[in-house]
Amino acid sequence: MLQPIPVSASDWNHFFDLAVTIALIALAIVIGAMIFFVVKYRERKDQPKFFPDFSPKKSSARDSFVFALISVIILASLVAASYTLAPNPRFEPSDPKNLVIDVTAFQWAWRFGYPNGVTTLDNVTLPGNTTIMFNVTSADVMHNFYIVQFKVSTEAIPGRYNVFWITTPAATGNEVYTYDIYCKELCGVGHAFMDAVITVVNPAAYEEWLASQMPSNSTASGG
Amino acid sequence: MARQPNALELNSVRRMKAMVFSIREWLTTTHHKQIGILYIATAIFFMAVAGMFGEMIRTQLTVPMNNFLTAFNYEQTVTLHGLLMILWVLTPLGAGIANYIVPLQIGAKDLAFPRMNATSYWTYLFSGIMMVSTVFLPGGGPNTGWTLYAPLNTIQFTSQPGMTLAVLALLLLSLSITMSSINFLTTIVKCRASGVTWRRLPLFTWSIVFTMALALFAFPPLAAGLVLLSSDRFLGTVFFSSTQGGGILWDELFWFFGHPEVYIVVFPALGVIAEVFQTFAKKPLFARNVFIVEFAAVAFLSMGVWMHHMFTTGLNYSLLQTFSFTTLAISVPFEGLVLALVLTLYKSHITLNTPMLYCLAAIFTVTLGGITGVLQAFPVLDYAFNGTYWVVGHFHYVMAGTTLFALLAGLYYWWPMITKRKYNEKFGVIAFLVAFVGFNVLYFPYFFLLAMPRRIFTYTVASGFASANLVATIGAYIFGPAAAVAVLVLVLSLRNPVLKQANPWEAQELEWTQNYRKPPSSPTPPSSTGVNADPPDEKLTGQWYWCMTGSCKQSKPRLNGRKKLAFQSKQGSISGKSLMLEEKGGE
Amino acid sequence: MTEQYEETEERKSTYAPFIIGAGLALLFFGLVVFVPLAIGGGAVVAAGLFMLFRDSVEEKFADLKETVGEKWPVDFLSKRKLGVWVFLMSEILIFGSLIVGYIFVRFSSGSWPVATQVHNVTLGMTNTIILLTSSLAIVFALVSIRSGNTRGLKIGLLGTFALGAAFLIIKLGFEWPAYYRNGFTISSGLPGSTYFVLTGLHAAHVAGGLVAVGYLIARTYQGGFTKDNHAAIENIGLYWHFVDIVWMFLFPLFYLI
Repeated sequence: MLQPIPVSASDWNHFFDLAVTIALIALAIVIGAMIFFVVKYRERKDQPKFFPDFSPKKSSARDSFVFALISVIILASLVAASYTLAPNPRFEPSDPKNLVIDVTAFQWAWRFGYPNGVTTLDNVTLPGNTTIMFNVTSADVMHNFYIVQFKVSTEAIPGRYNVFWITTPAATGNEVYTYDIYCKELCGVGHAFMDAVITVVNPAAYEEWLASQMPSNSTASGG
Repeated sequence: MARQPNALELNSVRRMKAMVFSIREWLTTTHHKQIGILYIATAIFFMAVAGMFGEMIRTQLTVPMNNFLTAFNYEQTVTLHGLLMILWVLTPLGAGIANYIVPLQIGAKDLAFPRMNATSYWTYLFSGIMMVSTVFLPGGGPNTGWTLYAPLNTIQFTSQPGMTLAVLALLLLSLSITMSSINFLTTIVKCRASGVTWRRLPLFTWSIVFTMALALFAFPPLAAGLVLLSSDRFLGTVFFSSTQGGGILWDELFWFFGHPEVYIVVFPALGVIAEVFQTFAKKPLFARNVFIVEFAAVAFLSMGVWMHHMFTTGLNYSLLQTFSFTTLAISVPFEGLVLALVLTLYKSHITLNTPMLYCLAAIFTVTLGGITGVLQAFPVLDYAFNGTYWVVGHFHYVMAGTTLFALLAGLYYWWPMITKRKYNEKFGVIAFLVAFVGFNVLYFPYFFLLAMPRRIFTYTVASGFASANLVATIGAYIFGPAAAVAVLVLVLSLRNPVLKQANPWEAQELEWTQNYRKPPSSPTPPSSTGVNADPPDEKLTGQWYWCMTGSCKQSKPRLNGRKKLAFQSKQGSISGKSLMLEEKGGE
Repeated sequence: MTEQYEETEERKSTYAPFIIGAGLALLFFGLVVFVPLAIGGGAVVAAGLFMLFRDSVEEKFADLKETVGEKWPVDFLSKRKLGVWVFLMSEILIFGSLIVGYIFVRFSSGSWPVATQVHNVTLGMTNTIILLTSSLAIVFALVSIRSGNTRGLKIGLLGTFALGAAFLIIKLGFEWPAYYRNGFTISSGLPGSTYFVLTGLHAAHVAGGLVAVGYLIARTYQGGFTKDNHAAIENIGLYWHFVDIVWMFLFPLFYLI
């Protein structure tokens, strides 16, 4: 599967890698300390029995404050990093030319609507290297529109239109890339099979495909 | 144990036998100890039921395109597994231990309202029976997932009466828990013995204060949502319909309850860990007062993070981002709690027995689970995590891991007090080790199933989910039976002889010593402490607790003429006056 | 530690909690599966509540004198009164959630009928005055018994009961049937749904309050309340005032705006 990784996913991965690394270091320190203490301070059979002493301990509030401060600094840095490393797909990108696809979820399939009125079911063909705006809603219950390899999703809520943007990777010549769409919100017995496919082709091939869809749409109702 | 039991013990055994077999006594009791035992036993029963559902879920997901369960049956199983485990197992298990232990820790004769306590228990039991019975109704039980999202939860999309019955069972449970929260809060505020000031309140009781305060504020919004849903299902209102009402209203009401609920589940566990560490590390908690303040901060903040379950709903982003910040903020005091627990082990004297091992495992799972939770606090990351097995892994680490392990530790720890029996330590440790390995084999693969949606009843070969799912199922077949054996070790201990000394741990906390009296203004210092010390004077039993909470008048410890505290010296070898008091069972 | 073996404290036992729990379960189960079962369940709950009433008359569960222990910071509140306040906090949360839900739903929906066209503001205002007066009546009852005036107590409690009953009769007997005749019903859309659910839940709380006031009246006629022993009047009075205050929010939110 030598498909190009979409920009949104690589951004996501970079931020995820950073956050997970910091998290795993924290885990190692905390659990490492715990294991070290347990090994070093455990009571051994040959030691005589220990009775705790009665003196009050000095205050350790200062230590707690220091640890809290360290955590706040780490978290604040991660938040700052998230603004640069992982742009939010809900924010409108600067590219004014984008293709708007209407997505309607229903039990148990996905209907995609193109600007010229073409609709498709469970598959959507998109031109490469283009910014796509998905306008997602539901016809019945809540679903969740998840483009797996792009690492973006949004809920499909009846009565609401949720919007997000992706940029498709470039495709040239005969390259055809497919990406998966899953439904991530339990929506009834058909939830497990509510999949769809994104097909990315080069822009010319996309125009060709779109043109070929038109006549069949004008005669049939609802693709 | 060659010597004959004396009259006192015979009487006690006879009374214990009489107690067990007197149904009438159990049906009419209002005493906190018996109600606590009822809660614990019932929670374990529901754990067996919900655990079976869990094993069924894993069986169905072992291989791709499996047909052990149909989609509809799978969804009922998942829904009931979630509802039962969170609301009828973990929450009541903590409440049951609290029922038994809290009055002992504060020196009260019983809870403030004993009959209401009993009513709480019976409504809990009957609501659980109602919930389980939903699968037997025509059309089956609820199949919407434990979150019962709208509009899926309306009659239009989920028409079976079993769903309506489930909603009413939840309402009944909300009533039960609200009564419990009123009871515990009033008890802890008003029924403390003289000497048990707020600063000296034991840490488990503090955890129950926060648990019950959260329960008081969290369950009414759930009840409100359930009232609206019931009215939709019975009376034809349209609050959650897709055309007029909608899903967001349910989302808000449910998660405003749902987030504090998970802290209600985990707080008693943290309280138990604090108690167990203090007893088996023979050291007061690190930064005890800061611990309590951090606990309060987590409790308070937990009511302001709920929209982090709604990052994908497309609501106003600034609003959601605020909740991202509050979620990150809550991780700071929470991590402080965990660090305080870990630092308690520094320069301590650790006994590695079963309760201690469970608590150490709980610290591991809460750190790992907490980390995976903090990662979800970033909305951009959450767009990929939400609704997938990453989330399932996260919450099983903190709920099935931390809460279950810590509450099991609590049962093991307080077992000698409750039943006056000692369980078999060796089997306890073995069950723990197998359970811990099984637990990790089961849930760690979930973090690699980032692309797998939740609640799907099967998956294709092409999806690539098969290998992780197979490993997870193997883990489930290890973890489930091991957890059952862990409970069995406790139950089988009832055959053992009665302990002569009901405090085999020589624990110094209030529920063991029941020494609530204010300590004398200038207590007599012990002749020596630390290694090679004399055993504690009977008069001073329990005094360690008062000194630990800052109530001793000793300002400068002067022990054997040395300024340095005896136990901090490097004496580790056996010297002439060694006191090898091994624990003989019941000596 | 041997004293732990001695369970010398007297254990008080009663079937009432079991009966109330079973009754509630039967009630809810019956609502879904078989309505006569629900009626049976309701009867069982009533029987359980009656058992509690009888226990209270016989003072079987009259508490051991409240032990002198640590009381800060609420030394001035008795255990029972603190329990009532904590209970009221949970009630504030449930009504609060529903009210916030109503506001959310109302302001995110496109059109909403004008209040005065749909609701009978006169009847609503009448009911508001009735409920306020009933709160006054229960305060009168409390003040009377504090100075030992049993007759004033009876008048006040009976007045509270009568006014509360009048509230329900006007609402359920006159106001709501008129709405239904006009097509404004619980299932006629969100405005109807929100109005009937919120005011209906409130009316249920008024009915529950009437049961409690009825208990107070029954105990009064048995001579249960004296100058020094009348905590229940104040505690149930607190609940009654709370129910009144909720109406003070619901009335303007539905009838005036």
